Amino acid sequence: MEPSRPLRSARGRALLGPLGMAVVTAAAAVVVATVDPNEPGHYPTCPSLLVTGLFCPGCGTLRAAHALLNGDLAGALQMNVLAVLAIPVVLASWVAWLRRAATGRPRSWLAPWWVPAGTLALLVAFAVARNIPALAPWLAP
Amino acid sequence: MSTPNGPQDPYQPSGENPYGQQPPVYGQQPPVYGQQPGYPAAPPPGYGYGTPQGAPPPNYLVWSIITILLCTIPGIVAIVFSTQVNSKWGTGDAAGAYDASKKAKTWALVGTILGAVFIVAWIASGIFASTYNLGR
Repeated sequence: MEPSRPLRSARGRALLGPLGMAVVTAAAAVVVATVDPNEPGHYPTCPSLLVTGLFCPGCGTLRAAHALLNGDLAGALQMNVLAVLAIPVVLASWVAWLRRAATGRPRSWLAPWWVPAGTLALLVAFAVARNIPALAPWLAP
Repeated sequence: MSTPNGPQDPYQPSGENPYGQQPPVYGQQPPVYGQQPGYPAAPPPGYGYGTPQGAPPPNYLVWSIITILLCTIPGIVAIVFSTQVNSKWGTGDAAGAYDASKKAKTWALVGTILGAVFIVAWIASGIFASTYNLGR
């Protein structure tokens, strides 16, 4: 299937998405790297944690990002294993997005259904497991 | 893709032209493209990966996962629709896959907006707390 060649301006507009996302992410990374989330008062408590008192699958991501940006992989894994493991997936997905935007070629492949289904199951299992006190030393932030 | 037993091969090298009135003036026009582009009307079930032709719809899985970091519930709904995108595409239901893709996008967007509201409220409450502490 030969894609129709998009206009140069349309191509440029398509690139705004992935490149803009990279700029925003880099800016956020600078803030998170320099402003320590472990110090109370730097960032307010997540509303989801404040209301429910439970650790959601995303809990500890800010502290994990801070640790990782300061070169502390072990500390990052302790804060949120899944968030750290998700980074290569997110990066690969961003590269694919950039490539689609640059070439104008539509995606040609979709993973089998159990990939998103498995992701959902993993997230739910992680949410339950990290709230079990016996597993908290490894999984809770 | 060419069908093995197509309706009638227009390029059959028979001496008699079946469409006698129409000499092949439009010879450049490939007659195969006359049909609807896209998906076969009814893909046979159990055909293995009977994936439809054309570009699959985005499932917004990564966006949904990132949304979960902001605020859990809409992100989970979005992932459920992401799963439907892949499963429906895998069984040849292209229209259903595109529909699920649209729903996944909507829910991921809802999660993102809610997350943005949370962050704004978060920052506002932080500023409020610090000014409150300073005032004491």
